Amino acid sequence: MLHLLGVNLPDQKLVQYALPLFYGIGQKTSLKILAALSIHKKCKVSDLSESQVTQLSSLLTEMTIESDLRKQIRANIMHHRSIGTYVGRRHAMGLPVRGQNTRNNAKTARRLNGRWLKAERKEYSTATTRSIIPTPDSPFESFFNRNWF
Amino acid sequence: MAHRLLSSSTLLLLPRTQPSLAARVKAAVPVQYANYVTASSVVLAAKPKPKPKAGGAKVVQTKGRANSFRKKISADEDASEGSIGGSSRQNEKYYKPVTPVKVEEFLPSTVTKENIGQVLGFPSNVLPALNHTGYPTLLNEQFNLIKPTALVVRESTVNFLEKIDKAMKTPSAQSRLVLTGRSGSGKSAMLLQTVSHCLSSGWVVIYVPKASTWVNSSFAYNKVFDSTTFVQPTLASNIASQINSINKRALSKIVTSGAVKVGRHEIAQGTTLSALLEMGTKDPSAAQDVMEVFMKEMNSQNTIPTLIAVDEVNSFFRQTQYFDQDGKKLDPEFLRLPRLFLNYISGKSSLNHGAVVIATSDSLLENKSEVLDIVLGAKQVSPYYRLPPNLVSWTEGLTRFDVPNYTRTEAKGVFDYYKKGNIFFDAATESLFLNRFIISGGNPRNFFTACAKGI
Repeated sequence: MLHLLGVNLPDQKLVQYALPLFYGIGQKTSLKILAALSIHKKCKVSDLSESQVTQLSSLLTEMTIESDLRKQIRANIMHHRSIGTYVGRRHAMGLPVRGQNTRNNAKTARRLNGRWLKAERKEYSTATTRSIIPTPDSPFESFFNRNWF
Repeated sequence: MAHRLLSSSTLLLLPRTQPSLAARVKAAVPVQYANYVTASSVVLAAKPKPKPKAGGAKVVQTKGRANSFRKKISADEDASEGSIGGSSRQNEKYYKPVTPVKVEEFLPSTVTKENIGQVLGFPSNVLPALNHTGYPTLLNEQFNLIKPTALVVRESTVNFLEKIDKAMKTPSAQSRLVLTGRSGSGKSAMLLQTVSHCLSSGWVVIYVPKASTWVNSSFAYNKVFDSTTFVQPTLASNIASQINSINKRALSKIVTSGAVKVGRHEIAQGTTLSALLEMGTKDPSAAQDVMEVFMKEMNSQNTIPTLIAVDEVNSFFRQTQYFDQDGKKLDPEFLRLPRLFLNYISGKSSLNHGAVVIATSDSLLENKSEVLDIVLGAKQVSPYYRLPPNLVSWTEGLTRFDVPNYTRTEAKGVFDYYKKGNIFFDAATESLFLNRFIISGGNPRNFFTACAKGI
């Protein structure tokens, strides 16, 4: 089990199919990464050398993946909401955003839209900027850090 | 209905003829299972057997119910009794004992026009060598089925080996032979026979049974610093060890002509090529350089001829599955080891004494090379069709050798060999041979599947 940037990559998996386990990496970017690092397509995670692992992690930290990407997406949607656009309203209501029909068939939108406006979960992050939604500290800390009593 | 629960009360109600059966059934079943009767015990009871039955082995105690349809009879009991339950005994037609067939050896002396149609096995010194490299995939299936590993001597074999013998004293650039033919017509088999012939004749043989594995991204690769080419260290190391194990005796007599630097190692003048290859085996990072030095030394050899035999060579004439750093697929000329072999195939490098024999393969569609098919005439295109120039440059000057289907005598010889190898379901008669020969059209692979699998 290779533990890389908060994600466990199983040893027996091919690297080509293990990289998409990161949020923000799909099949195409996975192949691009392999090409850049000269890793053959049938290489398993257990076959990677130490230097290749360090190269891989440095390459991945340069990209926006995982929590950084999630923050970016959330920020984009919150922006629409905060300036009061139609798009923002539709996200908040959990309805289709891009002008689709709602008389029938809005199932995916009803199920998935609006999840970006809920509270943020604590995740592994390489970014140093604070998130716009306040993260819940431990009860002890939040008691002493608040400005009101 | 005899399988119903029999109690003493019912016995009295049964007619006169039945009590004997019931009595026999009761006698057949051990006392503790008296209330449970199975069909098997009834049948067994019907046949008077002198042997006493082992208690409990036959009848399964079904909890509370006399479910006679769920009979579980031990296999050895059943086989000995010879009654129901023949499913446990293996189908005699299908499972036949493996009997190694007695065959003569495939030697330069035995490969003559008189022996056309004879199936000859690989000699005892060649077999261990071929075990190191492995066999082509589909031929391996046939070899696993019938022991020992043997191939039929064909007319084309005799003609081809004559050509090889003539090439013994000439540079390899003049004898670059490519075996072509339809799918399953015996190209890989002919190549194997050539390899065996050359090994028996004392040549140094470099045999690659599956060239597709070199370019299908199954080996690690690294970019060479300050160059557009790539190295495959583990592959080079494997190949070095294979060549060393096949040709150890011949290579321990040849020495390097000058001092060379290979990776981090210094090779002194006068080291045997065998020791050089061993070093390449131990240190994969130097293996590619070792291979290049080795081939250079073999170029200048005048005493021992060298054979370079590559199967599935069409994978060298198309884009590989490797990527360069920009994400584009690599051509084989950018991989150092395939390029080394391509140099000999195209005649850009030449061995002083030797030959290059290559064979195409239609096994996998992903290895198909359009360029090679067009150049060899297997595919017809308009003369205005533009071929990729970098691939075409490697195909110049190849001599084509067609491998035809079986003739009647060759097929008969193979059929007799299969018969001795015991792979037929039905009786191996002349009419069966004709049937198989006609439906396969003489195509060797189809003939084999028709004989072995009946399809």
